[in-house]
Amino acid sequence: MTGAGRLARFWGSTVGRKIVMGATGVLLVVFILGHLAGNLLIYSGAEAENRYAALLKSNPELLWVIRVVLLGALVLHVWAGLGLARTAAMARPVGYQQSAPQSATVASRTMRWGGLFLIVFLVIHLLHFTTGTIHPSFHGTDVYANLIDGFRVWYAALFYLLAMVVLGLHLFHGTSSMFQSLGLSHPGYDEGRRRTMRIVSVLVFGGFASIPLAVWLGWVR
Amino acid sequence: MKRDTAAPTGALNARIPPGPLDRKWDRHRFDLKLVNPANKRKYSIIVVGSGLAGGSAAATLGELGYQVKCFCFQDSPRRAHSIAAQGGINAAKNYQNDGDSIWRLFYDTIKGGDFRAREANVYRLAQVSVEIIDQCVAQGVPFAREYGGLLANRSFGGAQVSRTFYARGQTGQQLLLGAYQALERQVAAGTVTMYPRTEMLDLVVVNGRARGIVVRDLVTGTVSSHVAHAVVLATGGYGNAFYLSTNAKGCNVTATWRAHKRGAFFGNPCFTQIHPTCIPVSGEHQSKLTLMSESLRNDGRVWVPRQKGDRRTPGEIPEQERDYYLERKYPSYGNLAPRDIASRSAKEVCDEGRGVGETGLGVYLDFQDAIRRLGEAKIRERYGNLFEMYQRITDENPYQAPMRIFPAVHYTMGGLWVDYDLMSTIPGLYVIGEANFSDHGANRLGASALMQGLADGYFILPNTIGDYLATSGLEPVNGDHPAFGSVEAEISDRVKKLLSIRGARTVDSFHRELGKLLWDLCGMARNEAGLKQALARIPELRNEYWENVNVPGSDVELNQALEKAGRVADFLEFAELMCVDALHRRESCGGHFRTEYQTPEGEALRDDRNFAYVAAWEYAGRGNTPLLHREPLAFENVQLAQRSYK
Amino acid sequence: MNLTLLVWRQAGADAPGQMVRYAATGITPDMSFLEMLDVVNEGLVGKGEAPIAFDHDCREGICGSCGMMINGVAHGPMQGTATCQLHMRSFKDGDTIVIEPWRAHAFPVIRDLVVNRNAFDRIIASGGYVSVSTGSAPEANNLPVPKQDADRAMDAAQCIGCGACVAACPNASAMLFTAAKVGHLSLLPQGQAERERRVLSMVRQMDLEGFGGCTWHGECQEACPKQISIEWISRMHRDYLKASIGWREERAGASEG
Ligand SMILES: Cc1cc2nc3c(=O)[nH]c(=O)nc-3n(C[C@H](O)[C@H](O)[C@H](O)COP(=O)(O)OP(=O)(O)OC[C@H]3O[C@@H](n4cnc5c(N)ncnc54)[C@H](O)[C@@H]3O)c2cc1C
Ligand code: HEM
Ligand code: HEM
Ligand code: SF4
Ligand code: F3S
Ligand code: FES
Repeated sequence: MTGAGRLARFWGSTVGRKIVMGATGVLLVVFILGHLAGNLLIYSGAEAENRYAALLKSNPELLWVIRVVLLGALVLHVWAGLGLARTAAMARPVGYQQSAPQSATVASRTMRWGGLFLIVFLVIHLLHFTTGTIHPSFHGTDVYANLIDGFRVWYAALFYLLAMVVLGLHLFHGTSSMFQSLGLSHPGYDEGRRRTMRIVSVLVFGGFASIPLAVWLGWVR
Repeated sequence: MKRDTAAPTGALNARIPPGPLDRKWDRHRFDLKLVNPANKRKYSIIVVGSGLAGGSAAATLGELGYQVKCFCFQDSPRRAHSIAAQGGINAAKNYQNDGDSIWRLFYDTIKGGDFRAREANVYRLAQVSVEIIDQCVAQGVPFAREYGGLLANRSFGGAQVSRTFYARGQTGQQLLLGAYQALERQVAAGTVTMYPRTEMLDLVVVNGRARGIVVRDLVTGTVSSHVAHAVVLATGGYGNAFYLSTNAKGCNVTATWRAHKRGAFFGNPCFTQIHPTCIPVSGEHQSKLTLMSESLRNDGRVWVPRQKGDRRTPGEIPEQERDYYLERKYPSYGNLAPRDIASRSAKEVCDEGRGVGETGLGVYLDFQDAIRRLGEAKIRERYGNLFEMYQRITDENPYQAPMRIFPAVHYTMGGLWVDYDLMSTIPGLYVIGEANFSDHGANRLGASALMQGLADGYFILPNTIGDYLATSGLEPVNGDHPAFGSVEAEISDRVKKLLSIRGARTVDSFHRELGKLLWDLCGMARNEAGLKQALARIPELRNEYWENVNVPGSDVELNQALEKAGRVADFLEFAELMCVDALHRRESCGGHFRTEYQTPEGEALRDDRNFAYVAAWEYAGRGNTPLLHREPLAFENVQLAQRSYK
Repeated sequence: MNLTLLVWRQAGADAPGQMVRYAATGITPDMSFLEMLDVVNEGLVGKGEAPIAFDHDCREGICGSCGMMINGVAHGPMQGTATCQLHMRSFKDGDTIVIEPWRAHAFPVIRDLVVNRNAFDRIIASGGYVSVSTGSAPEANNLPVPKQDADRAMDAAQCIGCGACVAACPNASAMLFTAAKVGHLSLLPQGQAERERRVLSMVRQMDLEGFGGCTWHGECQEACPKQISIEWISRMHRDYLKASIGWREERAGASEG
């Protein structure tokens, strides 16, 4: 079969789509971790944070490569996710009068809506800190100042907190799911991996959430 | 070659090929006419049943290029009752180097069957057994293995060698899934058409030859006909005549009984097997009995208290007050004595009032020694799922307290009479698996039914049926032949009749009553008085059935009550034949124990002079006593001996 | 004990259905769940009403015929147990039990609690076998199989095809069933020749039947009477990925997979 045909078959199958979600999920998670690390520099002061921001911008080509890759990953991720959501919806036209989930978690059952919410967040987030469009007082490359002024606005901070809860949940299920989707599963280490990944996702939530909170409560200024 | 199986003398011709025992099958396969590969596609074959026998036959016939139609009443061929077989399958591989051989398997089976089986068939079975294992392993059946990666074996009732292959406690399941997968492969290839949820209700005979069947679609209720050049029945056993048995709820005698009424002789209908290790009945509502695989007898010790009515818990009964009666009576075979003997011994001790459990109808199967010897882990590995099943049903933990077991109806050695080619007395009607009477004589050894079903289906029938198709110059027949129309009409009328009665009793209540009757009077022990009583009662019950049964619903829908009603109606007719056969056989042999005929030690007492034959019954019309035909059994290779497992 | 049943009644495939309330009286703890339904049905027949239709045969937890949603749980509250092996001691006097059929687009209801599961047969027909015709098999002990592989293969091969995994999965996914068969054969040397081809065509058929995808809810393994692990699903993803890269596929001569 031609490479193209094979690709079409792969993308056309529920398993193929899921593998794509897993792979793109990994990329997105890696970005998130990096991004978190960067933003946590806020606690070591303005120049640290800004140095990091400047570093990001220092090499535009690379930056754009990363941006394109991430955007591509996100598009595939969402596309596959929506596709799977549609098949799932069609797979059970008539639901149960009573159902008592045994192992499905809030996280596992909010992946789809949570994901969609994350898109909304992203758009707002970019307009907020990257373009500054909706930022009350945008200071261009003074990222530190942007953050401080940004989160002094209580509803902005609140919105971020909410978004981080959603992200946390998404990762709580997603980070262990992605390995299984990629076929990296073995009775030997499944349980351990699941636990570690859940801890990581809680840390990501805590790390991110701490920032708007700290600024809002005036701990960092 | 011309066929006159039912010779006028009333003596049946089994058409056993000439020559030395070990060469017969080879020679015969050479003598059989072949169907030219290009022509196979022109022949259509109906296979009723998708169990080990039917499934393997349909798949193999499909592979050979015939047009096959396969039927089963379950929603999928994979659910045939063969799936429930637990213990294992025998084969004369002699992997254990413990002195096994084709000859020994042959001898054990003949002896186990108490010398009421056909030498030639049994020898062929033993020969083919070896190929079965190869075939199943190639299909990916995950048999148990040794650490070296080679196949493992265990010993089984009635044998002193380890020749039983097994897949945990789910051997039948794994073998059936192998056959089912082969079947589905042919379905995909278009050679086999599968008709699930379709019940055969009658056989259609045209010009003395089986040319098709009439079926009812269990979902829509539609009654329709299917035409073919030959019909194969692989519809399993009739143990459910007893209502309570280890068989699946749907197991029935309908297909074989209807074929019998169309002219197929019924062989040894009274030969039923009572399995010694089943979970005892707990109450009135009980719908079926659950088998605890015989393999448990490898490590479990059977015992009852020495004195009557000892109500102490097993733990409180000290060693010297226990009676390990099998080990006592049969020192060399001990707990591995054949089924009929183990069952009867259990009945004896319970009749003496030494039975255990509330009902007093039970004996202990104790694993304490084995657990002490091998450790709980080993026992868990060997029987884990069986122990779980026992605990799930009884709520007792067999790792701590001994299991309580009691005999239950399990298998039917009797079935439609077939010749060496597995063809019944109706030309073109073949019968394979448990549905035929062939290889097990008066008692079947453990792990031999799976072997027979697969031998028939994979290796024997596909060879022999070709000869019939090639030689009998069948005229073209199609569905609008009057024969089909009239049978369809009969069936529809019968269905309408059942639905019109609207009496006061449910189908199950009749079935329960019939079962109880047979269990008491035609079960583990039979005698003339009891059988005559049964023969008087059954027709009464049958008449009441047709006047007072209540079958709700209509015939144009999925109607499970109606399905049951039809099956029970046939059991009510068949039961009579069973008792007639039991009454006529004035000897004890294997599963057929006539209390009048026993040795001083209470062992079965055969009468080889007068009864070394297969009783094949011919239907003589409503109300008439069936006609007996005899197939004399010649034993040229084994010594007829008083069976001894001491 | 006395119970109240809320049972889905539907006269036929196209007929409308609804939940109907029945009283189940005189039930004893040692009855199996199906025997409890037998009792209720005997009563209904007595009143000339249509008994509740449900699939069952072996009543030993091995044929895979039985299966219903019991209080929102496939096969009921007892783990690793098919409906026919569930006993009434798992319930107490006065309980209300809600009983529904498996729900999935690919498992249309035929009547009451009876559904059509032939989609499973078609998945097997699409490649769930080793292509070895009768007679062509080599001597069984010619290819040794490491005990641990044989044992793991058996873990997956135990699937009874009941459909509880589909019924329990929020996406009505048949992944566990399909993965169990793919896994069973992929672990054995006999299954290697068709390994890629098998996983590709079985997954394709699974999708054609209209089952959902897997999003790792794990409900299927909770419901599975044979406690087959979702690790098999992950294993199938791995096999599918390998097969899609597919250098061996041509060699195995599969066309469309
Ligand atoms: C609990 C249990 C455990 C056993 N364990 C062992 C063991 O360990 N070893 C061993 O060797 N044997 C064992 N046996 C015996 C063995 O399982 C059976 O004898 C054997 O499987 C019968 O296979 P079969 O193909 O002849 O019939 P079955 O497997 O019973 O198949 C019958 C087929 O016919 C179909 N059918 C029946 N009637 C009709 C009809 N009217 N219309 C359409 N289709 C119909 C059914 O749908 C089914 O597909 C066991 C039996 C039981 C009950
Ligand atoms: C409280 C949490 C977060 C804070 C404080 C934060 C902060 C920032 C800041 C300051 C920038 C601008 C950097 C610059 O322009 O140099 C930025 C960019 C960005 N953030 Fe966040 N972020 C947070 C969470 C997230 C999350 C959860 C996501 C993803 C889901 C995300 C995705 C992005 C992206 C994609 C960019 C643009 C990077 C680029 O320039 O290409 N951020 N973030
Ligand atoms: C922005 C950062 C995001 C990250 C870091 C992320 C991460 C992940 C990860 C790791 C998975 C697991 C993949 C798998 O199970 O194989 C996943 C699954 C999923 N994601 Fe995202 N995702 C993000 C955004 C989104 C968005 C915007 C959507 C929008 C639809 C989305 C929808 C889903 C869905 C539907 C799943 C599958 C559900 C499941 O597997 O249980 N995700 N995501
Ligand atoms: S995987 Fe488990 S639940 Fe699914 S069909 Fe097989 S046995 Fe039933
Ligand atoms: S429940 Fe469904 S989502 Fe996957 S893990 Fe099981 S198939
Ligand atoms: S009836 Fe066979 S599994 Fe439940």
